[in-house]
Amino acid sequence: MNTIDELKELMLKIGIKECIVNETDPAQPLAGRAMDSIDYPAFIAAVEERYGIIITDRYSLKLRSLNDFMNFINDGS
Amino acid sequence: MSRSNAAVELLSRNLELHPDKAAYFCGDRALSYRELDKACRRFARLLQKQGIAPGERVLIVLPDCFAFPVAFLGCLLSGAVAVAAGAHLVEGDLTYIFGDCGARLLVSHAELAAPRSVIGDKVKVILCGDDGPLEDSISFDTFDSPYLPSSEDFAYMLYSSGSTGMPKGVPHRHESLLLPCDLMGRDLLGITSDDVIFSSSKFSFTYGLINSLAFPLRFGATAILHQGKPDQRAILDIISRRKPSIFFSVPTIYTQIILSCAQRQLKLPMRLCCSAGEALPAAVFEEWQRLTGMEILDGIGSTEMTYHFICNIPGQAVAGSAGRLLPGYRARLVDNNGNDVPAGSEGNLLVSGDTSSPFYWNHPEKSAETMLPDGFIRTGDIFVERKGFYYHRGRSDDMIKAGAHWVSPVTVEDALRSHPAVADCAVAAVSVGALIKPGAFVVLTPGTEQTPGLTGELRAHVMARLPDYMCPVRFRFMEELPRTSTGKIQRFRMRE
Repeated sequence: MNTIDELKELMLKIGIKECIVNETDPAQPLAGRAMDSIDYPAFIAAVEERYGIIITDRYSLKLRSLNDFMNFINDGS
Repeated sequence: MSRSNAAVELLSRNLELHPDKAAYFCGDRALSYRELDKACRRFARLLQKQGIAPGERVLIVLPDCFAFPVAFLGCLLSGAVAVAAGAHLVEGDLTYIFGDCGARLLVSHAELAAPRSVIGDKVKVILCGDDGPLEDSISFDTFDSPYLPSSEDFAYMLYSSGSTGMPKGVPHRHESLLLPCDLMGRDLLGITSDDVIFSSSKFSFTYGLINSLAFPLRFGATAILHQGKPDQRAILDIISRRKPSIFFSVPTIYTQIILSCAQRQLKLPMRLCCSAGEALPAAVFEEWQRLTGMEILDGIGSTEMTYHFICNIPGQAVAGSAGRLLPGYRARLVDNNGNDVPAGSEGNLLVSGDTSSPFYWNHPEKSAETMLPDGFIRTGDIFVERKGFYYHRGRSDDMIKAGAHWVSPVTVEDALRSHPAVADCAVAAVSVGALIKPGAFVVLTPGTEQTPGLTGELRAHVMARLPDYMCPVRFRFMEELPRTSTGKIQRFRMRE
């Protein structure tokens, strides 16, 4: 399973509907499309727990798409 | 001793100066100052015809549409106390507020079912459409004798969430609507009749009430109303169409706008962006400034104090700080024994000023605890002050301010405990994605496995019972919860 698939699995885990997860374009911002202001922090928390990382305030505002999360997880950037 | 009626102060000058100017925009429609004045007077007459006497409470449960200022100011004109409750409130809160304020009349919207199901046929109801009462059978009698309030009369009351989960009524006198206009609107924000004001916070919150009712009418400006949920897509659409000059919002909305932006730059028409409701993280301030070229003026106020008492000044905003103490207010930072702490040390913030509420409605014990005999109000916030700037450091109680809403841990814990997998739980503030949110610490019932789908199931369980901002964003599963020797949950040990 690649990182994008893992992230989509986390989206499902926090309760985002499968049809929305399937339609999510990894290059597009998640906010306003796949996630609202309640889902987004839940997703960050799920990513931190799954990968054992801490996403600081500053980074959290730069991680807007699944690709951003994937790059951060894989490269730390 | 009599005082001026705030509704007269907010309406009459505009009627003289620019009767045909838009007081409000909502969707594609506008309401002029002449239309607003006429509708408010008609509403005041309607209240009189319904037998509502000065001092009686009128419960207003309306979305942000023209009908709200019409009903609210109509109450003030007639001398009734406008009790503004949010259209988003769940039935339990509405039931409590209705009983607590003792209203004999409900003003609600035809499309809202909850308020009427709560009150049944116990009181009279004025049903409204977007513009005002639907069946206004009263021919327009001139209402030319607005109530002249005494210094003891209340004008309105808002409800603020309490730590036990039950909201507390916070009554205010007429001048509470006017003083923030002078102290903050004129002297600090420089609001004039040229401004177009857009507040994403609703009328039923003190921040939204002053932003969308007091400020625009006091200065003859125009306010934009948005009936729906304040998500960033709707907000950006309104900003693009109506081009507000001042935007009042909350950190959660600023964060959502930042996160939804695919471009490197965002061009916006405002001259001022303001924030309140919860502490604005430095990272959000800085990213917004990078994205838009504008600073966000963060400030702290409360329902008890009507509006901001600490705020940043345009052109001098400091990232991560709530700003400086505003003229007209006094503040103290004290330790748990009530002694002032030295500058640079954390302390409990006490504040006093002429906009303070004298007590909580029907809560003498809580009032005595919060409204101190020397005129200071205990805010429950911990701050540190450096070189005149105040920095938020958290709460002294277990309450959580999330998405500019108060969240009582007790309420969320009760909802979680109703799930069969939860043996025990605690809810505390956690910092995730630059903002403070509720986090849940759960002890599972014996035999329950921590499956991958359990978190989603618990979130859905809470969402089905409570407003979405109360839903924990993080779930941690534990063997046991930290407790005192007497068995009380130590939520402060779980804050992250």
